[in-house]
Amino acid sequence: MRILVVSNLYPPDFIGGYELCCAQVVDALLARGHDVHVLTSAPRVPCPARPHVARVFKLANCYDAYAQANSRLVTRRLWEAEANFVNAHNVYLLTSAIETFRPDVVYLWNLVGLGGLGLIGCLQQLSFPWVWYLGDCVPRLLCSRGEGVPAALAEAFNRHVQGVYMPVSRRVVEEIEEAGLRLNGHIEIAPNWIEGRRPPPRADYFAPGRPLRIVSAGQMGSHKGIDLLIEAAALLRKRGFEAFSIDLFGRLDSSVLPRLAEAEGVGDLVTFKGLCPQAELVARYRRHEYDLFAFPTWRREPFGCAPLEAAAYECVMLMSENCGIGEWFVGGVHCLKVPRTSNALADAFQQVLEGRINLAAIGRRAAAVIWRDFHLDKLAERIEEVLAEAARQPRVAAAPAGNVYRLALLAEKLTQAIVQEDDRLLKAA
Amino acid sequence: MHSLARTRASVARIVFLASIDETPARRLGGDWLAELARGVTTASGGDYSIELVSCGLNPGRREIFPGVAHRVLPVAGQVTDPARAVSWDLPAALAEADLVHIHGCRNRTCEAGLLIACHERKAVCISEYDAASHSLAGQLGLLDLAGVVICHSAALAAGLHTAAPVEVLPACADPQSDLGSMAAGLVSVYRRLLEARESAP
Repeated sequence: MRILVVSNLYPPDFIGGYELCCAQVVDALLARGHDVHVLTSAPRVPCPARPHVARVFKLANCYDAYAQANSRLVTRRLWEAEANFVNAHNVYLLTSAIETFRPDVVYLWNLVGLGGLGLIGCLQQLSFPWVWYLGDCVPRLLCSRGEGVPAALAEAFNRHVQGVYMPVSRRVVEEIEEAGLRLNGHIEIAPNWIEGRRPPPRADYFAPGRPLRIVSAGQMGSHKGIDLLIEAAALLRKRGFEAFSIDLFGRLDSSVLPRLAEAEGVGDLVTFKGLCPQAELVARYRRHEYDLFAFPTWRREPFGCAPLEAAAYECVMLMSENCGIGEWFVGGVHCLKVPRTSNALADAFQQVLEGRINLAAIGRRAAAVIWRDFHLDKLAERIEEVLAEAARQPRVAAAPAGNVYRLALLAEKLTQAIVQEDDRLLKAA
Repeated sequence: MHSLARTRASVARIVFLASIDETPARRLGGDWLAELARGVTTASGGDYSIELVSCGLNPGRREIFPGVAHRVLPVAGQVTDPARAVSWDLPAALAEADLVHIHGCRNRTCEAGLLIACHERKAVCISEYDAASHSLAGQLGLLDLAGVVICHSAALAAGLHTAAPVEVLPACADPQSDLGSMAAGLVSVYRRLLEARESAP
């Protein structure tokens, strides 16, 4: 199959799991003999060239914290419109890539920053088959303007957009639908994955009397519950438990969390380890440096690859009870699930420290399931089938590419004019 | 006859889209656009119903003749220049239309309407009343998106730069006197566009 992949970012330029997963699937599809071409944005820092990756899209300033902090409201709204609604330049590049590469199917990833609605509209106009991996509620983000999704925009999306969606959890679908959007077409819920070879079973598990080694990795923010972990550590200490440590891997954008740890009196128990390459983290799990992976993330967490990677090496997942990855695992069987509070976290840690939870049994069961059902080799087969099914859909009444680009130019100019004339923005300026 | 063969349920819905003050009605005098719509419905033998759609400060819908209604959509925001008015209700107003006839594509209502209609694969007809080189329509060559461009003078038609087919339906100094033939000409244009749309894959 000839597969055109569209992603806002592509490693080594990445923000999180969305782009990393994209690169992993692309490599898997290449390895399976497919002809894959990636269209992504010009990198935010220099990147080495790769033959199948064209870094040509323009990425709007939506991820640029410096630019956001140093711009007027109307400018930010223009960037938002360019990021979500339409960027005619990117539509032109997409139509050109379809004409020159002649793919069988377009495989969409995160489109925020690229004028994603315009790209989807382009594919609809061209009647071109697409499959959209949803590692987050991207359709909802693309339809958002300011605080929410305008009803007219939701209605237009529901009327026109139809294709194949691959969300990573039911949670993602619900979050999209809560905004009044419908995912018309086929929905195939498929989880994220792990890579690599299964290691020998873990022999050395936590036992009471030894220090409990807790780890978490990802974005260091309150939405991921890092503040709750710090508070849980403080609660444990107040209850008389000292034999534990919490290592936190991820980039710190401010000193708020380290200051919180100091203020709670757990600066010696909680260590901020900084950003760590994925391969190095996996090596740590493989060496069994940790017993528990704490993931007290927010309800809108679509999936969460980090705990899955840890659990593959029998480091037990402890997660908030209603996040996306929780849909795929049974609490008490493959993982521990707790309400998203510092008290609940502290209670769970305490039960482990007191030997009331058998981490070995949970860890083994989870690892068995993950290596069997959550390995990319296994999931790539299904992804391949879904792409092939989509590619077989007949193309009806495709509009000429020139007209599609003209419509994108019209949409872009109207959007820019309307945003700049918004009376609230004028007042703010 | 084709018109007699149609049932009430299959009446084609046509939208005349115009801006608040740039309507041909204002340019050509009186309720010209409404009269034209009435002429079309009559000439079509009841095959077509027409809704005149614009954005304005007094939203609502009223039937002005049998088969002809005027719908005013609420303007989004506080727009001082009528040429810049647009409405969030525009997609819904065009949703059920079989054909969108845009009268003068040099205002935001009509530009947005053209975008929506093309995106929805509607049959689109644009009436051009002036040379549009200075407008967005001229800049982007938007007339090319129409199934047919209607002009009321051969001189204007000759000066248009578009790949779309151009149909001249002449208007004299007294447009009222031309309504009958103009309406009949439009019915013929609409019929061709709708048939082409129906036979498209």
